[in-house]
Amino acid sequence: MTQLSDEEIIAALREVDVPEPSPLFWDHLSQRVRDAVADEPLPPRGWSSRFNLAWAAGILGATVAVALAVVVTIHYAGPAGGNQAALSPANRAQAGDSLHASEDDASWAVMGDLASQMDFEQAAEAGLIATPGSADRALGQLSQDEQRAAVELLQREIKNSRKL
Amino acid sequence: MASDISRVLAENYRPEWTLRVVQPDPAPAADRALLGDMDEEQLVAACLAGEREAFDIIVERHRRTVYHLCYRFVGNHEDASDLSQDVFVRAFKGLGRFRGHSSLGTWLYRIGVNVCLNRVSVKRPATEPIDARPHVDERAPDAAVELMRGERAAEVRAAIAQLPKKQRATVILRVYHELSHEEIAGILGSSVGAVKANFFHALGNLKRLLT
Repeated sequence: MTQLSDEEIIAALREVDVPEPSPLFWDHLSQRVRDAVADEPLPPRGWSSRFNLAWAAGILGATVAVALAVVVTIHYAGPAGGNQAALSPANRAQAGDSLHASEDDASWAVMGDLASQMDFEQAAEAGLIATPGSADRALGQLSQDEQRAAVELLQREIKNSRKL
Repeated sequence: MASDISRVLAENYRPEWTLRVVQPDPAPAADRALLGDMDEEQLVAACLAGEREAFDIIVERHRRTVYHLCYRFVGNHEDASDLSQDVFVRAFKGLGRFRGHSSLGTWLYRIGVNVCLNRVSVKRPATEPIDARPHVDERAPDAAVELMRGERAAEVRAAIAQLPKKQRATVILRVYHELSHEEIAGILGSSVGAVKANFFHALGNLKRLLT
């Protein structure tokens, strides 16, 4: 028995036709499909359109979060610079109050979410992590009045924490 | 005499019904012509927007290809007809998921192959009953040739039916629908390499089965 070549096999396959159904069959098939889908609800729009909306909402949200992060970073990075010494103890107390108030703020929640997703190494590279001795250096830059106010603030916070 | 009867009837008999000739509304025909000019993307959009007639056009354009695909898998008209209907119903239900990354035809092939493979995995493929095959006049000069051709066709169908599912689908799409390896890979969700390997193994199996 001789083995057929690939070409001979394909030729043998191609000789097999699909018998042509009655010409009426095609309209009959269309009618059957029409009847079958008549009771079906209209097909819902696919996930692609929802995906586009989700993307748009996501991009908008991300843009707002990034803008917020930039504003907050600039706002809190400012006092760490040369103007830090100009802050009075009263202003610092006010800043502390505003910090407590901001805990209920939605934007603070966004920042919290962002911070929780932040990689430690990336944060360190961005200068957001306090390095050893940075607190001492910051205190050394304060005036004597400011240092006294800072000590008072710390003592008050320590007392408050003991009460809790 | 006849005219007298007609006159008497016309004067005295008033039927309870009236005959009214109504011209067919030309609007549906116009809509259909409009839909007929649409490309596939527009038809899908129209269908999703609620124009069910758009789906009729889709069926009309693809019914022959879908039927042929189904027939190649199951080998008889009745099952091929049922499967074709099933393919289009599934396509209608899933039309919202059609992303347009491939052509509508390719998408229908994908549904068709899945429907057919599901069917053949639960039902042994039945071949056409003898009396459903075209009649061969045994007295005709080429009757013997026709008979041999019919027998050979039955052998080939039986051999294809014995192939593993992916090999069968690959052979049908490649040989009968003349699709490229890339198109078949898209339909079957395989790599091009896997399609080539399936086709190679399918030919090897068919050689063994047909010699």
